[in-house]
Amino acid sequence: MAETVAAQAKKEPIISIKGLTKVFTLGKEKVYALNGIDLDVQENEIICLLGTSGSGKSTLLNMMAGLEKPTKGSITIFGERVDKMSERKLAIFRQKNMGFVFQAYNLLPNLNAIDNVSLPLAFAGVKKRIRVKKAKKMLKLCGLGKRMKHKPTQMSGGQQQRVGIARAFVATPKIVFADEPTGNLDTHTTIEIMEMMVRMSRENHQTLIIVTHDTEIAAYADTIYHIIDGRICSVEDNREHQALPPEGHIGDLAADEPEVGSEAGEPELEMPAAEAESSPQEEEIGRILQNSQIPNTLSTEE
Amino acid sequence: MKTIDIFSFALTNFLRRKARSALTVLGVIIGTAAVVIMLSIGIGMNKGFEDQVSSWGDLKTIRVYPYTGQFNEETGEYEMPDETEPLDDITVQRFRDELEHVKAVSPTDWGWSYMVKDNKERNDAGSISLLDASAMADMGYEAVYGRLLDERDVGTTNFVMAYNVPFNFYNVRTEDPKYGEYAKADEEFPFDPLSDKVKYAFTWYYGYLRQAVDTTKPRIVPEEAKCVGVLVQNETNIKNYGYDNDCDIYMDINGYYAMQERLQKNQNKYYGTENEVGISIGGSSYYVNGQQVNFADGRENKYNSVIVIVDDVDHVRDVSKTLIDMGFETSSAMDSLDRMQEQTKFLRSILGAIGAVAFFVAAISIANTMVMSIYERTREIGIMKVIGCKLKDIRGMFLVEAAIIGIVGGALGVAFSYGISALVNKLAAGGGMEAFGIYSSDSALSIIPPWLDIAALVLATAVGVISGLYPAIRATRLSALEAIKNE
Repeated sequence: MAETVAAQAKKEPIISIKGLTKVFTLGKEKVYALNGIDLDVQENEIICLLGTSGSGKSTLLNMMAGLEKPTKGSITIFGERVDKMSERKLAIFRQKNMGFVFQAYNLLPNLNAIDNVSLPLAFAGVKKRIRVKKAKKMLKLCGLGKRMKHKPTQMSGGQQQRVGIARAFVATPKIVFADEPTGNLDTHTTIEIMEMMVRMSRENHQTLIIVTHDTEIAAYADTIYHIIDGRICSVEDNREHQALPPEGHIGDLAADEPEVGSEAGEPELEMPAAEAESSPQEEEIGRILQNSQIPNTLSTEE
Repeated sequence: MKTIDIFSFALTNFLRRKARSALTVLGVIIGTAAVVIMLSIGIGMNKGFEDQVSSWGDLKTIRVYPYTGQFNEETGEYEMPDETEPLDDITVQRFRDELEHVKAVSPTDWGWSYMVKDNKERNDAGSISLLDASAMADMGYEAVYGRLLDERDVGTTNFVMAYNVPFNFYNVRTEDPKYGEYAKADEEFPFDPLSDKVKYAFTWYYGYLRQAVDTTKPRIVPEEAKCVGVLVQNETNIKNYGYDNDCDIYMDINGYYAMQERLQKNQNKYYGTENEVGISIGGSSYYVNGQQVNFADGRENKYNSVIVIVDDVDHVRDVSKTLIDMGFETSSAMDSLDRMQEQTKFLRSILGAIGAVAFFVAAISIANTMVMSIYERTREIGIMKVIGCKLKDIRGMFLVEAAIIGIVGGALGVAFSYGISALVNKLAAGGGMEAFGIYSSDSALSIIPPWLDIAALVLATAVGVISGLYPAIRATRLSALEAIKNE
């Protein structure tokens, strides 16, 4: 079943997972969190690990990020065995190659938006002047030009997650992991956030790995892996039905827009949805597509 | 991560929890102040002893005696060497040639005589301090009027007198002016002590000028002598007591010995041979426990003692040891000082221990604060690790934060110590020093030398870093996974 979509790929996969198994021992019982996962991810691919709570999707992501060690199997990223790396090497590896977007945003509460975003650059030893410049640019790109000096507690959930996205992308990592990135957000903001992540990763030719239980979110991916009880039970090639409109550049977002994503989101919802590219998919996806135009219309406003 | 960023992160975290940082710093302040104060009292006590002992005699001075044996503690018998080095001119010369770090060497002894002025007035207080005239300048004496004794005065009875001497002459008959009063600071002399018109003379005869001349006996002829200078007043004594009690006459030792012989002859003529005054000149014979000491090469022990003045206090023990190795006995104020300091060593180590305990408590408090801080920041640390913060940078941040607590606490602690020190000294001024057996009104109980400031600061920082070590390592071991777990 885990045949993967490798057939389509001509190039070497950047992430290659073979026979990944994780066993937890609960008393006398052995629980398989992951049970023989085989998975290849291509460069610039957006994949989604879709599954219910407890299916093992988060464990899989954690292992790819080197945060957990597998019981069996291997994870190779850029030719290096992540599962065999030391903590020290992992820190540097993550610093160079990985960005993270979390469900709970995980911003540092005492740092303002700029400092939070520039954190990965600071860890990489980038000079303050340069990293602040990059962070500001990134924040503007995410429509937070007016909130750069705000601390996480002074921002709404959507804004915080945008800071989180800015932080994940600021160092232009080759892989970005997003673990339930919209789990704490309302539908409207969810679409905004997903749009933004997908756009950014497309623009920079990054690989995006999304973990979710939400099929609407999964619709943004090129490939959807359905995970049930630690196994990949089906792989769905979603390229043709993708939820994201192809046109529109990240640069468009760079405009310093006022009050985006804040409570003032209501009027924008009335914006023409007709421009939305029609899709032959089910109603659900159609709705997402309509809503997905919002960031664009907002930015083109000025 | 750049070093400056690690510092700025640490500083931000330090300032973030103001109340807790302040309390921890307070702990370090108290710890540092405790150590500094306790040590400063130890230092002050040592300094007090030093002042006290140097008021008895210069710390740089070593007194040398011939070695005459010692009690064997096992047999309980006095063991005398077969031969011993005498104190004579050969020995003095040897000291001058062979000893290093020596400023002056002089034989020394005490002489005594009534002093007569203009054949009218007497000064009965004067003992005569004997020394080698040529070494007087090197011995640290200083003349306020006239000059010190020098090579020209070797073998003569020329003398120098203490500032008080001119004030102590009195008319025997009228008892006027009253004697026994010390000169005040820079008080004007009652007469010009160096004037050619003033005639000084020495006699051993108690009745001179006092009793009617017994014409049946040979005449008493006082020994005339010339004064060449007056010494400066002792400033410390003037400051402490308002006067300087030095009433001595200073004369060349050989000149005096010669005069002593003449005075003896003169005296004996008067008293007759049956009442001959027995005096010993120098140390011509030397008995210990009824046994005569044999001196090397049949030489004679000319001087009772020789003093050696060392160029620096730090060399006194070495020079002393060299002298003992050369076969002499020594005594110095340093010996007394060592004894006193030895006796209070226990007290001082207890003081030090109290300080150390306070410091240890401060160290625990730093460690505790840092551990608490890690518990609070578990999630943050996890996030930082996930985002790619190197382990050594995380460790660095915590170590620097702990060091900041140490430095800030240490600096404030040192500043605080100065206040406490001043307070202690103020309280001790009212008799507190005597409680520790220090009788030196001049010195302070608590003294903070500059090295102590620096040492305290370095120590506080080091303690900060050391107590931060465990929490910092702990921080690097936290699971990054905890941070990204959804809640």
